[in-house]
Amino acid sequence: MERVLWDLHADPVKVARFHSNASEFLSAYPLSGEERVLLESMDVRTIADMGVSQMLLFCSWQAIHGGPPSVPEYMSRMNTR
Amino acid sequence: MAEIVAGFMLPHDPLIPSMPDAPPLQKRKTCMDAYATIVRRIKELEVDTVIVIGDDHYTMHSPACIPRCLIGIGDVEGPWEEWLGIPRAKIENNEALARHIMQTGFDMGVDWAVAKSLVIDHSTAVPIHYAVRPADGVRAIPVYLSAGFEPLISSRRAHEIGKIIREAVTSWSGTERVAIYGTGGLSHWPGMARMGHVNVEWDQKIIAHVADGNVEALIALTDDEILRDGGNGGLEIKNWICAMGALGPVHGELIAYEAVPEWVCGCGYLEMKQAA
Repeated sequence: MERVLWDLHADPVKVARFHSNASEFLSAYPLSGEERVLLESMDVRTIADMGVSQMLLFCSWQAIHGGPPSVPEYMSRMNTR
Repeated sequence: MAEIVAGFMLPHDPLIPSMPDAPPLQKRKTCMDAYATIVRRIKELEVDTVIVIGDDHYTMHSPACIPRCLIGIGDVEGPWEEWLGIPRAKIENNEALARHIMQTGFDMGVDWAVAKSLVIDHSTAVPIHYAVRPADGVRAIPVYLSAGFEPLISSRRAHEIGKIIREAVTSWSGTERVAIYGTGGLSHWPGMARMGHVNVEWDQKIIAHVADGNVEALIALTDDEILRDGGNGGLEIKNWICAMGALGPVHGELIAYEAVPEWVCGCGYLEMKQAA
């Protein structure tokens, strides 16, 4: 999962492909069904609880969702339990 | 023989350059004045080389390879982050001394990851921008520890690496006057649910230990304790611990401290001086 998040964080071309067809993009990675669902929906709270680096998660979220303006939504989701 | 003549602890918060107007003016001024104090002091002490100890934030390195400890011995430029508010530029490295630190480490049991060409992230770029570059002609050697994310370097190991850096500098045949910068911290929770919180009490505890030169008290803090009380960002005190290893017996004198929730960080600055 961190590999996916890193790729999205580091490469805008991959972000575009994720937005275009997330399922197809994620199919290239060795993910479980659950992991794929979590990444498609960017269920950051559950992803964080699985032990994924929250620093990486935060940076990848912003890369996918347009930078700092997306931070409030990220924080809202992170504080949902 | 090269000599370590100065040491400083300072933050590397990326929001300082990228969101300069976020906090109240007085807090910003306190922090920027603290960086300026460090510049003034390294000029007074005729420092010509700074070893800047930082940690990656999944910016430079992917999950495919996470160096435990890394030293830049060749070309250095940065920062990586286009949003940082600091233009990417070349950073003058003291390549000969960096290579000596590398080799001394190899000889003494530090399996450095080595970068012959390195693009640094904010953790060293911010301190270099504010506290090295304004001192014309001073070169910077970037050192990175795995203090930003799992798997974390142990605090004890960070200290040991610092001691070996000291051994390297003092055995160097050159005449450099070297400063050590321990960067990062203090309490912050980047990307975590508590991001924006500053634990002033914990920050003051850390500052007190550093002021007393009590590195063992810092090493005794478990990673879980640091994570609980100082956040994933608080783990960056391992960079400070490494710096204290390099500095030898020292005590810290507080330059400034500000709790800056707008920068999601407690910002602490200390000058390290030889213990009496």
